Amino acid sequence: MIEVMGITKSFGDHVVVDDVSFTVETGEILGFLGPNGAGKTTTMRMLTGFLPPTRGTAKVAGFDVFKNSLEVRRRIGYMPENVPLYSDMTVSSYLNFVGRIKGVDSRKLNQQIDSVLFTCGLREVKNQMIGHLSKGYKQRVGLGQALLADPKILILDEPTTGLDPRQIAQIRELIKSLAGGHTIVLSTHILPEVNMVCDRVVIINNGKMVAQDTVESLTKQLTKSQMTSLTVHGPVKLIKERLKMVEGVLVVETHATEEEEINNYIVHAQLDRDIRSYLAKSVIDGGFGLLELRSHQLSLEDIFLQLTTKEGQQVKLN
Amino acid sequence: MRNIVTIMDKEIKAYFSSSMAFLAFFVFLLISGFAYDFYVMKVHLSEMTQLFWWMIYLLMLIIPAFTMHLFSEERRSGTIELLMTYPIQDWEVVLGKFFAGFALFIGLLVMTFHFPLFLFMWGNPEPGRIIGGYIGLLFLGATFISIGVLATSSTESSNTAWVITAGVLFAFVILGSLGMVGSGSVFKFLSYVSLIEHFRTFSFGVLSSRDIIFYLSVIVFSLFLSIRIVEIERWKS
Repeated sequence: MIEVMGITKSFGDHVVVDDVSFTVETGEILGFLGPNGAGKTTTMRMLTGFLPPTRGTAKVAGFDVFKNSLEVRRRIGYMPENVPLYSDMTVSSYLNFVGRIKGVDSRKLNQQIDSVLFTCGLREVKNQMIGHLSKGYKQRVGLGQALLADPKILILDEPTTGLDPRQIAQIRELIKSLAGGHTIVLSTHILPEVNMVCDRVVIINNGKMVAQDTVESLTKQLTKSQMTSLTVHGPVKLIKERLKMVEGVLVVETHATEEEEINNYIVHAQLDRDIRSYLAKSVIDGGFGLLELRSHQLSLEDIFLQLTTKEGQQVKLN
Repeated sequence: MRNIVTIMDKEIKAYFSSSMAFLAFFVFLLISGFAYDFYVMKVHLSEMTQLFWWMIYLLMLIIPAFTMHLFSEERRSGTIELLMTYPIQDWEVVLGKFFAGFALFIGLLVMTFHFPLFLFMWGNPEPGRIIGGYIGLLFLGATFISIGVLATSSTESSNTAWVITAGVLFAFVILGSLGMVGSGSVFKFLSYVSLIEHFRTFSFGVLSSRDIIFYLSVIVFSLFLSIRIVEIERWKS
């Protein structure tokens, strides 16, 4: 549905997006992940026809974003970062305006507006001036206008920024419910969001694409060691020494918990055998209280840090 | 076509949700009223010609206020990003905004109809001159508005757009005056180029094709350039 091939954007000498390529299959939700200034918004602006690529091409629904911009725009719903809206219009009249521009048949327009008002929880504010709405409601209006005319492709730039946890959960549920029937590209720097909502993720840093895959694949690829998490009651130094002595252990990280004398240990070990029971035995034989033991998976945060920061390349040592 | 009306609709509604349009109307009608009072009541002229000229000078200040925000505000608030990513063509956006300004202007003209009404009630004016004058104002106003659209399409600041528009309009007036000074071909050219010189024939009750073509040319040129500017901004690499 979306093909991006070697897209580059520079402003003068400053290269903001550098040779990025990825695809999005029909019905997929793709997460665009990256720190601020990575090039996510610029890439999205190229997909929607707001900015032209300096080099490379992108196709949305088979149409080139530069050569057939109008055809592309007919098929997308876009929610820009910072959700720009006309503050002097009411929610309903604004949605009416957008619906007409998007070419919604006038007989179906009111029905579609009602549907969007309902889906985005805007019914109670439909006659309020947009300028008087809270940020949460404005964000929902922004999402609502993207949904009008039921475009097959949605491009959402940080759709949950600035919302409270309950609103964030609602928007995520909404986005998930749209999967399958819609192709969605959403950008975010909230890591858990990607896990919860997206099928695949593209990680961008400094304009370059750093990874493109499902979260599971990425985790497998980047897991270089077996990791086990233990929560133990007892003196830190001694416990750490005992754990280090288990065969195959490479590194032991320690983290304090809120409770005194209880600490969390992340043990990195070679991948060749399962050392969990040996770790447990070691702790118990030492007379220490083993409170919790579980396999520790690389979190998306770990993956992200590994791929985007130099410090992330090294495992933290104590 | 439908898109042009949608944009025009939205802009007209926007005019009435801010106080700017009302204020501009008020100032225009107030000052015109004073001019009417002077020329008709005090000097006892039974015609609107002088009043029309007054209104033209007022329009050179007021029309820039109608058009200054049309593109500039969209840029400043960021709504241009949505406007440019909707399935609407650049020329539809430009024309929609132009017609909104023009509709507002027509509304303003209609609100001055009490002037000729009083004239007819109490005097014996020549209808041809008055009708001609209003038609001339229509063309002149549309021309001013098209220049205003050109200005706003090229800047992010509404204030700058106002200054550019008013500046260009007054520059033309000055050029036109210079054209009166001499009789060589340069002066004839300057006279021709003056936007308001072409109004004269209208005020005499004459609808000359030369003048109508002139105004239409300026309007088409300004709008065409505006569309180009909007397009170029979209494709800047």
